[in-house]
Amino acid sequence: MPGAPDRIEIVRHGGFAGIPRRGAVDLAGAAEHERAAAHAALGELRRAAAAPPGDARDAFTYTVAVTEGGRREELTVPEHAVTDTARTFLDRVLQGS
Amino acid sequence: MAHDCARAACRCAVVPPHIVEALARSESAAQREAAIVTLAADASLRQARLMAQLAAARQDVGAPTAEPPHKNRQVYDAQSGSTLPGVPVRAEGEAATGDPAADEAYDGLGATWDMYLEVYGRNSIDDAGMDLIASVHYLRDYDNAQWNGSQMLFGDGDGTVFNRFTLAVDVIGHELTHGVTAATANLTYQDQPGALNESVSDVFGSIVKQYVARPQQSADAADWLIGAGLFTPSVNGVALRSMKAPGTAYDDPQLGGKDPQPSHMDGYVTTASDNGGVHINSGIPNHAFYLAAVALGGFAWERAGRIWYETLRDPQLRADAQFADFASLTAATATRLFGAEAERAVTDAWAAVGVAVR
Repeated sequence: MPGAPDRIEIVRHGGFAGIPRRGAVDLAGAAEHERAAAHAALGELRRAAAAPPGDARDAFTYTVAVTEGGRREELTVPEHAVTDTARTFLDRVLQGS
Repeated sequence: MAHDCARAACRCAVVPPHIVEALARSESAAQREAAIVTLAADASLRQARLMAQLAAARQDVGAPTAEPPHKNRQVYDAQSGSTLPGVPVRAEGEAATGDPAADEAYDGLGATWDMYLEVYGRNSIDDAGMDLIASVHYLRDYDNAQWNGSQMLFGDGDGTVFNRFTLAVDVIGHELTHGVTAATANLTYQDQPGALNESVSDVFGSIVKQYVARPQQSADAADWLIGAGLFTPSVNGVALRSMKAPGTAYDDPQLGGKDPQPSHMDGYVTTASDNGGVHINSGIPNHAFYLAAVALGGFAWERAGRIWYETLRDPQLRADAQFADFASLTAATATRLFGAEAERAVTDAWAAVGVAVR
């Protein structure tokens, strides 16, 4: 599928506890529907990364590293801008399922 | 003397500041001296004018109503979703709901509001009677509590590592204090000012816990833990942070290892994560507060807490304050409020964590 990433690595940091949490997903050999879901979530995360940091305190920040065709892109996404669809994706990757 | 200062300040009001500043760098010693005096007088005049404006503004807020402050809590249920605030479940004065998260949030908001009013005379977060709004059951398995800029959000925890975040009253005090900081010094949420912002929330969160405990806890009797009770029994840890012994709150692979907080500048962590490690480096000013509170004795809110609170409100505290700036202001505030002995205790506390008071 064109435009679908090969690998996505996520770090969630900040929060009241300040304890980072990491997860990654390899999509190169994944089923078509998984690649499509990741592609859709990434579109929303790119938009969210453009949002101003906001004035929340103890909120999470997500660092999303995308590898696609040998290129690497890194997004920094404030929690307040994360949509429900993107959050479901982030949680699934962080839980490793 | 007062007359001379006033005249210097008047002169400065018509001479543009950049010209006076240039004169201060002049080769003529006399010109330099005069300009420096003018700059100093101008700075203190601006300070005095600002203080007068603030005092007048406070009277304006208080005068028309003349009613005693009353708290107004509104607790909502986000029903595991992201839509805020959610369904109203308990408004001020209403009976307990039977939902522990909602009732703990209601009680914790009340405890924090009471402490700020009874101890520091502060009328809610903004000192102007702001309503206290909290949403519980925010998202699903949400391992967090946050101040989103206008209200509090509490997660239920995942149940494996974290319990619900309303369990610890100091967490509620911590979040509301972010609102107090936003309304006062508004410390920038990055690097050292960000760690100070976090520390101030831990300080007053901990004070709320000590204040509502029965019997109330003196500085030497308190546990100084932040978020005790938030971990499930599966975790090797007592709390999220320890102000008494930063770096010792937990040690568990489920949490990525050991509590990373330093208690001294030697261990200051430089990182891009978490806004420059604001929840890590807060260990340093946290420990300084603990040491000051124990040295000053009695209840932490009486002297150490009063010094920190007045420092937070001090117009001289800049949003981009570094640890040494904050420390120096606490020492000056200690002198002003409680005299030389208190100043010594505060200066020693900062020295013990590697921060020199100027």
